[in-house]
Amino acid sequence: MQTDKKFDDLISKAPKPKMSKDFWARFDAELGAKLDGAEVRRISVKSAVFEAFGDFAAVFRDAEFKRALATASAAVMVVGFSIIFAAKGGPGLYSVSSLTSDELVDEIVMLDAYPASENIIDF
Amino acid sequence: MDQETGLIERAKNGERAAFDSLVDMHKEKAFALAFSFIGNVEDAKDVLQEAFVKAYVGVINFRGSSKFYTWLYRILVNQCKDFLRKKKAKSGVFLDPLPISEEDGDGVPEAVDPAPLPSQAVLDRETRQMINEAISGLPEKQKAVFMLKHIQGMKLNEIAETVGCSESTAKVHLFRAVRGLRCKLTKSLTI
Repeated sequence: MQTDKKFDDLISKAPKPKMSKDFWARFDAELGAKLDGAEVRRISVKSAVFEAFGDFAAVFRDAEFKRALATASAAVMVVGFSIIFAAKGGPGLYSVSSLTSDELVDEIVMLDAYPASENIIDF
Repeated sequence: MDQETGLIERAKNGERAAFDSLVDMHKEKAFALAFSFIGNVEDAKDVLQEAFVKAYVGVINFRGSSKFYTWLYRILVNQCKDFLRKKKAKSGVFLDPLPISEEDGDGVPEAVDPAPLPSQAVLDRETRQMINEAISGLPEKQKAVFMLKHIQGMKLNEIAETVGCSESTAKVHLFRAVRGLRCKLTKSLTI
């Protein structure tokens, strides 16, 4: 019991370091310098991000770029629509697994009629 | 607390003077915590400064769901742990002689009875040294919880938030820390 009480007393009165005014003056000066460095880094990161965004946005204001972008967009649309409509027109390709047994037999018969090098259906 | 809330808002808006005020409010207690982990003045000072720098950069993300000092202590505890891992030091608590401000005049440590009997003073010093060594031998989490409770006087919910665990886990860590210390010290302490 006495041991427990002694233990509790000593633990509860655990001394805290008491530092001098000189120590805290030095602490504040050093911390101030470190915070200044952190502030500079924070500002430079922020301004680098804004600068990059500004440069990116400036590209879209250029007349030549706008013309080139419009041409490229039109070309993509033309090619895209061509592919869509071309696929709708012809028989196209289909998966062998989608064939019924009778259709599969017909395909095999057709294959037989062609040279091996022209066989394109891979089971 | 209202004053602190105002300072925090101003610090989040980038006002350096407000953050400096927050530092002044918390630096002494935070230093005591850092010193209890690290064991020497210069390293504790450096670790604490690094923690404040991290807090300064991260204050913009502080949502106010916990108290400011709980959030700050969490950064500090993690900094202390990182420092100790890097140094691979098993620094004891108070390995350096306890710093005493010369302005006190009599050079008596704060927590010691100013007029003890000589034998009692020696016994207290030796006992404290044994306790310090026993604390330094605790596992990391138990040591953190124990010091936040008994040295910083924090409540369990605040300790849980600081070390990043649930309140019940913090209770378990504390229970094990105290049990471990009692076992180690029972034979050494005079009954």
